Amino acid sequence: MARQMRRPAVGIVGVGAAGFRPALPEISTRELMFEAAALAYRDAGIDPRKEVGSFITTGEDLWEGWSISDEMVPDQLGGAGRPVCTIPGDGITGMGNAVMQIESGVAEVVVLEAHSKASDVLDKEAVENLAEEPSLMRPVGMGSDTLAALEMGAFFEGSGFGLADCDVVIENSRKRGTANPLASFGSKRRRGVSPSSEVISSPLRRADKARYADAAVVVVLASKGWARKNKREAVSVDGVAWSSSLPWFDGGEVAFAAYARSSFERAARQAELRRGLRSLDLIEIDDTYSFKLLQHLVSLARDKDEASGVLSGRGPALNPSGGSLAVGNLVEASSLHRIYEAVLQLRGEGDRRQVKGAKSALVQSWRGVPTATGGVTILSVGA
Amino acid sequence: MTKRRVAVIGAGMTLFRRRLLETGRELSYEASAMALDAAGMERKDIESVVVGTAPDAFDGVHMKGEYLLEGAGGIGAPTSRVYVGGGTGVFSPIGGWWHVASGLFDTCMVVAEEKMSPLHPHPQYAFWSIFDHTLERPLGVTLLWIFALEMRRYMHVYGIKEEDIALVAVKNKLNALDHPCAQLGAKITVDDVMRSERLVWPVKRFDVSPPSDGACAVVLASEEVARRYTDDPVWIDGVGWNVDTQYWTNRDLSYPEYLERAARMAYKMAKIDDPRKDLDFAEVYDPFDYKELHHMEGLMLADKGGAPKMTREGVTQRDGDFPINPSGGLLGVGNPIAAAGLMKVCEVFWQLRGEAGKRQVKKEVNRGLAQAWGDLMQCGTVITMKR
Repeated sequence: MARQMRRPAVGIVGVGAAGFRPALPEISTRELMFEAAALAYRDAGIDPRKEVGSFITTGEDLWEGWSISDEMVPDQLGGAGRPVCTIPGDGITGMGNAVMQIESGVAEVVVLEAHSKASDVLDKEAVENLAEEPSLMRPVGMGSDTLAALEMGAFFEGSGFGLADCDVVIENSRKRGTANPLASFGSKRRRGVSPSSEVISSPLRRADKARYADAAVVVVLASKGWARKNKREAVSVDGVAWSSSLPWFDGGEVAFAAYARSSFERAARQAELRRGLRSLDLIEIDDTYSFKLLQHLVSLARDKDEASGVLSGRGPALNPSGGSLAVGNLVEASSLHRIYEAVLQLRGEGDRRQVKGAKSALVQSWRGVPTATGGVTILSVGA
Repeated sequence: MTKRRVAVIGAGMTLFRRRLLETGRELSYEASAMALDAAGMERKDIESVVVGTAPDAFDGVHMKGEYLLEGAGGIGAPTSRVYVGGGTGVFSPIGGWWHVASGLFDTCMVVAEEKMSPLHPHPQYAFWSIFDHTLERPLGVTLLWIFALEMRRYMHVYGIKEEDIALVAVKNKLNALDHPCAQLGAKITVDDVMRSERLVWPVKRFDVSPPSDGACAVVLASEEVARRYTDDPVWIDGVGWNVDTQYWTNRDLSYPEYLERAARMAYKMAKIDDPRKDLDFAEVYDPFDYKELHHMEGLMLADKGGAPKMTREGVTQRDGDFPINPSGGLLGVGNPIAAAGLMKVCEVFWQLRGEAGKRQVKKEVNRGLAQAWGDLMQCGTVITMKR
């Protein structure tokens, strides 16, 4: 396993984002991708037709309503007639593959795109349910929210956290979202408290689940050699790792997320992070469901005390973007949005939500029910 | 250009059949277990996994990579799914290649699986949803229709007869008789092809590969690790992929420009100046018989419009000067989409190691190529391998 532990010589030289609303009926998926790509290319100062070696997108066919959705990717990214591919997965897995393409020497500059047009999907739970194993699990008839609720209950049992902790997560996330112009669900009202929220499947309440939103995010990665030669400022990718563990319903862990811990350990070793979460200025971690934020935080922290410390403001800033609970569930674009947020913060462009003096950041992802797959990346500036 | 050499050190393949009882996960497990056995490795020796599988609509499983990863050995090993439609089978070892060539991993298990049989009434039904929802789906088009357009255009531009194209089906189905996993090996004649059911003019039943279930796997390793497990590694020395515009109506369908670009990328990496001389044989993507000819030209293994003549003269036979699809190809072995592409990579590996049994080409071979084609007639994936 030694090979995975080397720090990549890759940086992020441009980012772009478009959309970020619960529904964008006036714009197509392809137009949304184009807008984000154009912004990212302007940010990176590159001509995609000349300076990009490879284009990667991270879509999944059933979200797109389009089999082999890879086919509609090249035109709006400027990638027609060039190396283009889909890495169906979250943005961190996509970024890992972009890093490997650069490190292998097959490309110096790689464009990574992710998007959500969830508003076009009439029955989102039906799509989620099709991810369940078809022979043994799907016939049982449990929906994705029921599975999440079972995991939530088991997590409470095993971790000592409870609904009151989820209320704090929801309230803080929405409050932080009020400072983020990309957050559709920011609010200073106490809407997450238990009595006021519909129970979807006990103990999961409507407020615990991030609502879907539409958006596209594009990140331009380049070798550090290319960035130096072309005089581009780069946010350094110090570590990137992704992992799948056994899902809880197949006998895997539930008190913590093994995929998050294993990804963090590998990314931290690449980045030579010596003090765990205390080495970082901000963390953007998955909160598709409120309890998942707690579970993921516990999995990244050394223990529950450190996790509680981060929750109460002692440690790195937690989800300054407001997370998915405020910005929305962007499906496979959720983690690329977190990377986008981290890049803005590290460049000092976080505006009203800027974390003062931010030099290092961690982004963590999860692919949603019924998976136990996720990733971690560690980014920095000024090293 | 690249930082580390990458070797194939083991390959495995399940039966290809119209309808297999095993689940997709089980097929992935079987293929990867065979590849591990061939490499002399155990699961714990695998640091990363790449899964290749084509439309989720075939199995009706969302996030199919997640579904398959347990069978492929992905629990605990970082797993990526790579996807370029029908080109995925050859693209998946390209994805595996960058896992190892980058230096992030020393080993990678590459598994490609397809199970087309769950779709009712026919797997073709899934292909309706590959078309543009606004411009094309309302026309009720099928893949057979647009491939018929491409075949017709190819025939028209170069004056090629249906009988010339039928020779490919005759050759490949005959070759497949020697493949123990093959679904449709047969001894047929040009007349049989010409008399087979007309599907969409000029495409006939025997011009087309079958829907199939199946899986393949290869184990990739860095040079240091490969040397520990084998004295006979097969090196991946060139990779290339290219995706053209989605708007296929705006391209001249008589020539696959995207494939030429993918091939040039791979040839440049492999330092191949003249592919006809520098390569000894090729596994060319043949879901339709005309596509073998079309792709030979895109790969610059034949002049434009020249592939039918090479076929007529026997150059592409298993005992010819430049064997094409000694495995039997998709027309003979079967076409479980992603697995079919990786089957070609497995065949190049077995041929280069002299382990192809009755399919072993007559001449000595040191370098071969595998290629696949995908998305909406717009993607080429190419890999070159040598001893």
